[in-house]
Amino acid sequence: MLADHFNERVQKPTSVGSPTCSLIRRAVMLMVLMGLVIGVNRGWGAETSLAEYRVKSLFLFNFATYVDWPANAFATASAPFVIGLIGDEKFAAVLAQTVEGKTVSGRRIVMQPIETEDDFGKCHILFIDEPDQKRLGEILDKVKTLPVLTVGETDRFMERGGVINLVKRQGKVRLDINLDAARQAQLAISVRLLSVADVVKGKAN
Amino acid sequence: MNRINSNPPVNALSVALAPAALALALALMPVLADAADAIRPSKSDALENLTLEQLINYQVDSVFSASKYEQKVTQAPASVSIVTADEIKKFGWRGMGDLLRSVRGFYVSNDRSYSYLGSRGFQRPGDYNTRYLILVDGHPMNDNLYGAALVGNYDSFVDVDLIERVEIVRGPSSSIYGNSAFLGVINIVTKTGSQFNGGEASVEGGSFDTFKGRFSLGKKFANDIEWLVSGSYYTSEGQRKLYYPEFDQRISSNPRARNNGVVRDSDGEEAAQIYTSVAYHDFTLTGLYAFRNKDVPTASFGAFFGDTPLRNEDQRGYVELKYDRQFGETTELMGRVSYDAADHLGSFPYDYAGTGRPQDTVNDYDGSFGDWITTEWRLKQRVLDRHTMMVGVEYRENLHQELFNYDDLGTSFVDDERTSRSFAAYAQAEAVILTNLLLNAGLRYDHYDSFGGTLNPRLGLIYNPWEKTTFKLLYGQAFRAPNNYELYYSATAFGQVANPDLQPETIQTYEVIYEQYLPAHLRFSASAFFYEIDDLISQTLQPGTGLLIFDNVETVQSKGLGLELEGKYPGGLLARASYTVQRTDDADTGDEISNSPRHLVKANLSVPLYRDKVFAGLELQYQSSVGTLRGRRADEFVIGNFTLFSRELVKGLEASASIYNLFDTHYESLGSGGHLQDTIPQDGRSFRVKLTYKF
Repeated sequence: MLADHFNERVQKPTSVGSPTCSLIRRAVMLMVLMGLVIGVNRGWGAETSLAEYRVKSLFLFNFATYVDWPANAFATASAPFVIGLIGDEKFAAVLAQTVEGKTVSGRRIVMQPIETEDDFGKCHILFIDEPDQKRLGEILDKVKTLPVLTVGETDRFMERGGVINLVKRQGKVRLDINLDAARQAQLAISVRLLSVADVVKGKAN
Repeated sequence: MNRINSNPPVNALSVALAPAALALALALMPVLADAADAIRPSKSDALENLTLEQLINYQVDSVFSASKYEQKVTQAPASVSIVTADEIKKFGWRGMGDLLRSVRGFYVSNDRSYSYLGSRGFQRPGDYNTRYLILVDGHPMNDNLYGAALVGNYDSFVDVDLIERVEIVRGPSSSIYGNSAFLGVINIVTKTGSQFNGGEASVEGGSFDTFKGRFSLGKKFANDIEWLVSGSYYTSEGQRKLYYPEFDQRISSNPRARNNGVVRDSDGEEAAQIYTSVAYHDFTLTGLYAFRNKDVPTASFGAFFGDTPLRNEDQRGYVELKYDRQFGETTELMGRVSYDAADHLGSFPYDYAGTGRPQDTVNDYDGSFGDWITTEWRLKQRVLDRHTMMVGVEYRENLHQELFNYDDLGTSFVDDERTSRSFAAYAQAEAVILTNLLLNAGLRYDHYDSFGGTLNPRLGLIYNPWEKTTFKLLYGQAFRAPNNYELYYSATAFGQVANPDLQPETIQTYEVIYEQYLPAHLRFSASAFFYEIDDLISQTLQPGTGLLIFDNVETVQSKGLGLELEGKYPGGLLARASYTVQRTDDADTGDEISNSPRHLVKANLSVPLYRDKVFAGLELQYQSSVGTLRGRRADEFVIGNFTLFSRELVKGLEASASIYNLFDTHYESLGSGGHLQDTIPQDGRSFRVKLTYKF
C-alpha cells in the first residue's frame, strides 16, 4: 500500500490564510441565519423523539388487532375499545392522534389518561410509563388478573408481571412478550404478533 | 464524460452559490414543512401503513456505538450523527465515500487509488484512515498491517444497499474500543434477513462505463432462523484519458515525464462482495468476503508513467460468531469470536533503465498479508435501576503479519513476517447523579507486544436542564498504535529504514456540545472542540544516515466549532444544514497543517414530490481552500449532487437517477508524499441510474 520508492520529499506547508475575523464573521452570519429561521418558525410540534412516540403509538394500535380479549372485557356490544395511559403526557398527544377515528372489530378506539386505580379495569390496553419500580410493581399487581393488556417501556417490566415490553434495541423499538402474564389476564396473543417479538417468555395456554 | 483537466479557475458562480443555497434551504424548511403538513392531516404520515415487521425495524433516535449499548443520542458521551438507509436512497449515495461527505465536519479526498477521510481539520495525505475505527455491525475492519480501513464508494467492502444505518461517533473512543478510535468511530449497521423478507435485485449504470449488479435474499423462518445472503459486482472503466502537467515533458523537467502528460485507460475499478448472516436466538454467524482492484493513473511512488498503470488489489474477509444474551431484564452478556484476513498487493511498473536509456520496465510488487483471531466479551449490568455498568475484555492473536516487496527479476527488497498479540480490559459506568444529570466514565487498558501498555479514559457529563435541551461536557484520550509498516518496513534500497521503537500517538480532546429540539420538528446542535495530538508518527530523515524513518515527532493542536440544523417531517421532507469552522496547527511551528479546510458547509434537502413515492434530493458541499504538501493551496470548491428517487410507482420497484457534481466544478484532492502531483483533479459531472426490484 505504501511503496515509498524514490519517495518525493515532503515539504512543510507554509501558512497562508484569511484573517480570523472573516472566519468569525462567517460563523456569526450563519448563526444569525439559523436564529432567523428558528424565529420565523411557528407552531409547536417538535417532540423529543417524534418517531419513537409514533412507532410506539402504532404498536398499541396494532396490539388491538393482534390480541383477543374475552367477551366480558366489554360492557356492551358497542362499547369502545379503551387505551389507558399512565404517565408521559406528550405520548398521550401522539397516541390520541394515532387512534383518532380508528376502529377495531367495529369498536371505536379511545385514548384515556388514567389517574386513579379504579380506572385500571376500564381499559383494554394499559400503557404504563412508570420509572419507579416499586410503584410499577403495585400497578401491575392490581391489574394482573383483569383482562387488560399491560404495555410498558421500562426495565423489569415483564419480571414484574407486565405483558408486553417495548424495548429499544439497535435504534429500533422491539417487542418482548410475557405469555404467562397474558394467560393470567385471559388474553390470547396471535402467532403473528409473537413472530415479531425478540423475547417470548412463558407458554401459551 | 471524459475531460482533460487543465486547471480552469474555480467556478466563481458555484462558490457564491454555496452560502446562498444553504440560506435558501434553511429558509425554506419551515415553509416546506407547512406545505408538507397541509398536504395531509398531520396525524397521518409515512409510518401510518407500516406492517408489524416494518414497525419493529423502524429506526428511532438512538445510538449503539458510542457506549457499546443502546442509548439516546442525547445521552451518548459524544457528538453523534446517524445516517439511514432511507437517506442513502434519497440522495443517491453510491457508497461510504458519498455518504460521509454529507456528514457534518467530514471531508473525503481521493487520489484515484483510495479515499481518505478527514474531520476536525485533520487529514494526512496518504493516511489510509488509520485514525478512524471502522466497524461493520461492531466488527472492526481496520487491518493488522497498516491499521487501514477503506471508506471509498466501492472499496469499503460493504455494499451500500446492505446498510441499514451508519453511526458516526466523533472524537476519541479508545476508552471502550482501544486502537484507532482516535478521531472517530464509524459503525456500519447492516440489514437483517427479515428486513428483506424475500429477494431483491438491483442494477445500476452510469458515466465512465460503470455497471453494478446485486442480488440479495433474506428471510426469517418460522423456526426463528433468520438468514441473509447478498452478493454484488461492480465495474467501471473510469476516466479514459487524463492529463497530468507534472508528467508533460514539454513543461516538466521530471525525468519520468513523457507522453505529453497524457495517460489513457488507466483509471478502471472492479469490486465484488459476498455477505451472509445467519441468526438463531442468541447467536449470529456472519461472513464477508470482498475484493477491490483499482488501476492507478497517477504513477505514484516513482512508477513509470503511461502505458501500463499501477494497480492496487485488496481483499478482505472475516467470519464472526456473536453471542448476545439477556439475563433477566438487567443483565446482558455479549461475546464474539472472529477470524479476519486482509490481503493487499500493489504492482508498480518501474523503468530500470534510467534516464536517457531505452525503456526497460520491470514490475515491482509491494504488498501484505495479515490474518488474526479476535475475541471480545462484555457484560452490561443495570445497577439500582438507574445506573449502567459495563465491563469487557478483548484478546487478539495476529497469526500472520507479512510485509513484502519484490520485483519481476526475483529481487526481494522487503520480507518481514511476524506474529503478535494484544489484549485489553475496559470498564464503563453511566451514573445518574441527578434526574437530569448523567455521568459517563470509561477506562480501557490495552497491551501490545511492540510498545507495552496504554491507558485511555473518557469522561462525559451530560446535563438536561430542560426537556428539549442537552449540554454535554466531554473529555477523552485515545491512542493509535504504530502499525507494522511504520515499525518494521525496512528497505535501504529505497532509502527507508524501520523504527521498532515507535510509541503510540495520543490525542486528548475537550468538547462542549449543545443540543436543542426546536419547534416545527427542528433540531439544532452546536459543538466546540479542542484537541491536541502528541507524538504524531511522521516520516522524517534519520540523523546521521539521512534515510527515511518513521518517528514520533509532531504535535498538532486544533480548535473548532460545528453547527447543525436538521428538520425531519412526517410527510417525508428532510432538511439538514451544517457549518464547521476549524483551525489546526502544527504546535511546534505554529503553521497550519496541510489538507485542513477551515470551513465546511453541507446542505441536504429531500422533498417529497408525489405522496411518499417520488422524492427529489439535493445536496451541496462547500470546502474552503487547503494547504498542500508543497506549500501551495488547493482552491475552495462547491459540489452539488441531485437525485430523483421513486418507489412503488410500479409494485416492488425502486428507481433513481442521479447527477453528481451538478455544476461540473473543477476541484482537487491533495497528492501525498508518494505523488509527483501536488494536487489531483477530481471527476467532473457524471450520472447514474439505478433500479431495484423486490420480490
